[in-house]
Amino acid sequence: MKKFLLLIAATVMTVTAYAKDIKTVTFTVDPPMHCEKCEARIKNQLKFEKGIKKIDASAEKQAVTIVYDADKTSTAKLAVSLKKIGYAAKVKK
Amino acid sequence: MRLIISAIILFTIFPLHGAVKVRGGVTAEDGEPLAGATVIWVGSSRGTVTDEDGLYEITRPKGASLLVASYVGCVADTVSVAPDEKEVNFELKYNILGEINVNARGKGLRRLQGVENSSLMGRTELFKAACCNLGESFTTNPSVDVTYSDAATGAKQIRLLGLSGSYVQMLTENIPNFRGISSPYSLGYVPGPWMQSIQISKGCSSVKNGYESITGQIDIEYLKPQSEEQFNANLYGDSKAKIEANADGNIHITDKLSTALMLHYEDALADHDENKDGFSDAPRIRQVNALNRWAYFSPRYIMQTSINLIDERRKSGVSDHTIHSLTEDDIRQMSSFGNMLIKSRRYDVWSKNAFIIDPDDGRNIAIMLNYSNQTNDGIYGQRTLDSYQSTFYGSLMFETNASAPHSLSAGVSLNNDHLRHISNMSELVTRTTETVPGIYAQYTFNHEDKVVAMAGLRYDHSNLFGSFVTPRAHLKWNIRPNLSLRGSAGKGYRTVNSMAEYSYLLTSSLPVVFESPFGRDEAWNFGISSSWSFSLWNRNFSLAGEYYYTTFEKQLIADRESNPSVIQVLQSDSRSYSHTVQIELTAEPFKGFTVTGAYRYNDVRETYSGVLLRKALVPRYKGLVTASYTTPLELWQFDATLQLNGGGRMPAAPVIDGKAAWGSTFKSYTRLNLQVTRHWRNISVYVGGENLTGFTQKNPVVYLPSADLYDPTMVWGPVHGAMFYAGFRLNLKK
Repeated sequence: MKKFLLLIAATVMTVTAYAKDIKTVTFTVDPPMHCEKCEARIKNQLKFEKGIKKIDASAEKQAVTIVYDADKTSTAKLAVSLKKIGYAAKVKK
Repeated sequence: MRLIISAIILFTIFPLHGAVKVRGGVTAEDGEPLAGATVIWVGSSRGTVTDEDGLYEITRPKGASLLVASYVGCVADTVSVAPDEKEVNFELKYNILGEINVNARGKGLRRLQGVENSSLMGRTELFKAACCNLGESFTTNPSVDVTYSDAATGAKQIRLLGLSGSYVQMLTENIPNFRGISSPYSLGYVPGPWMQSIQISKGCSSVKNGYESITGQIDIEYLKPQSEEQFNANLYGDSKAKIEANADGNIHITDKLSTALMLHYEDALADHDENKDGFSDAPRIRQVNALNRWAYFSPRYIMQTSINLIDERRKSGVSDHTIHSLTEDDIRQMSSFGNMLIKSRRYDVWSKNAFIIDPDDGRNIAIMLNYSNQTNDGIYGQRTLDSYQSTFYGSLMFETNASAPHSLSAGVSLNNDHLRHISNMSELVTRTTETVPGIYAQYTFNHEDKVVAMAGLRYDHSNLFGSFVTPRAHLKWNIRPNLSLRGSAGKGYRTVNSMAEYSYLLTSSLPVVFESPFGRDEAWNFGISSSWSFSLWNRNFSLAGEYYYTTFEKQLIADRESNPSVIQVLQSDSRSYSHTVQIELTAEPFKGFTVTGAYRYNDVRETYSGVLLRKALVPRYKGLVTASYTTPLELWQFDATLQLNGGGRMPAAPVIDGKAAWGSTFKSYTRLNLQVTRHWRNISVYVGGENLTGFTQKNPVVYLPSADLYDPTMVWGPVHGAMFYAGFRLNLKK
């Protein structure tokens, strides 16, 4: 019984691990970020979006790096979210 | 309910402006984001308030080019904004003089930079616990203790520097409030969700707000109508069948005028008798509370006005739970002692008006007015006491710029208290009026923000107690930017309405003798404190220590020692003092996790019939550990508070059949509170538990029917065991 449960657990874990499509995207924003206040504003907007794992907004690098679950959100959705607070976001190549 | 619905409709149908917006942030010179800072366009006076991260966004009216950011406690800054500029950031210098009164939403507890030893609890700190009202908001605070005066009325008392809360001056928006007959219940009069912040100042305070503060001041700032338009609602329920509902919203009517409405309802749906002594453990409280406030900001005139209405009922006595297991005779006898009902009605109206003479150097004249009116109709077992009080307070102040090396504040004030007591005990029937006009001046010297000295003097005249002088002085020395030392010395006076402040003693079946309707407290307070922030192993730490000594020259005391069978409320001029030492360490071991440990030792003594004794029911020490963890995206928050309360002495007990009615000491105990909060964009949900160690005082009500003794005032510990609660907060921004 124990082995059976372990097997199920292992399967479920493997499936979820495979199912999750974790991606990283880096945006540049317009208007550019000037300081930590702009960084905070961006973080506060994005943190409530679905599928967000990690946000790093840096005025110094002029980059917003987001780790997200591609099954739950997309770069387009994230850009729309940033648009709501007045930032036009472009994917940094 | 209709009001709430209309408020929701109002907020949802508001059109969005398509106008040009300017945004940015406001920080203090040390980089600390300033939440609640005011940002206004000069001329048009379109204004906003920064959010919890110190950020703002403001619509730009046509032709506006000068933007001013101001924050009480900081020097205001004006910036010229070019037509195409979209972002303006402010860095405000601390004005480290005089009273500092800051509203922070971001950080939890902050130590303030002023010359006084003050700390500020913002909404983050307040939301770490269920915080249903002002009284419950100090659970996470090491400096303030909250205790029940008795198990019947449930009146809550705070203790600061080991002394009763009556020596602390209560202010709402920097105006003295909740005095006299409202003081026993006033901690329940300010619902938690209505508060923007609470400022606690220890020591003798400044002379600006009168002569009354002895051990300190607690100032409550309510939510502001001028802040960003929003609607908030909150529902709360707990395992003790208490429910609460709050709603508030604000609207900007014009560029200059804004208003906010706050509503509160609470009710206890059932009573509890956990120790099965037949009496309710705590009263059932039902309260309806409404507050409407207005703000008007123009470059030369600022007005803030508020009206608050409160209706409250407190009921306790024989518990519904145990009533069926008692005989009729038992019920009759228990009811004749223990049935208590207090109905309170209160309204207060205050208005603050500032006329800015010179916006450049901050010279202004301010007028503060406050009128309050309260009735308490009380039945305490066989005794009745109906009290009425009306209070008028007016103050006119002149101030010069607080950032200059020399600054001056001067003013006149008038306080009038009218009190009436009607009772079935003829000796309690009284009628008194006290009128106190006063004048003050306060000078502050600032040497390059390195050394700040503040000295104030008041002269007041009471029609009951004659003329008196109040001197107070403060000194702050910034030894290094991260290390400061403060000292203060000063005098305080208080007219005490004995029946108003000690009405809870009437719940005891023992005879209560009030020597006179009015008493007088007169005391000196001396204190030194130091705070130091430092880095170790790449982590930030802050360490604070303080010592305060309060000594009374005159004091109204409740003497239960001279004759344990009688409670005497009398004027004493014998030795009475308090020494308190407190040490507090805060650390952030890893990102998102902060922990604070604090320890305070109290030595409080009073003289009864020539014998100096430790004050009864005051714990000898208090330890506090709070830990708070926020996940990296700040979606989850975990808070834990562990209180260690020391033991102490009990009042002398009447001896019945050769046996003392209660013990001579009480033991130490610990209390654990936990809370988990999950934030979404517009909703936060919280669940938690209080007193999870489950410790309760066995007999908060002393009842010996054979000797006709009933006394619910021997409370020193929790009356409720573990309690669980849940609630949510809704926040909708335009």
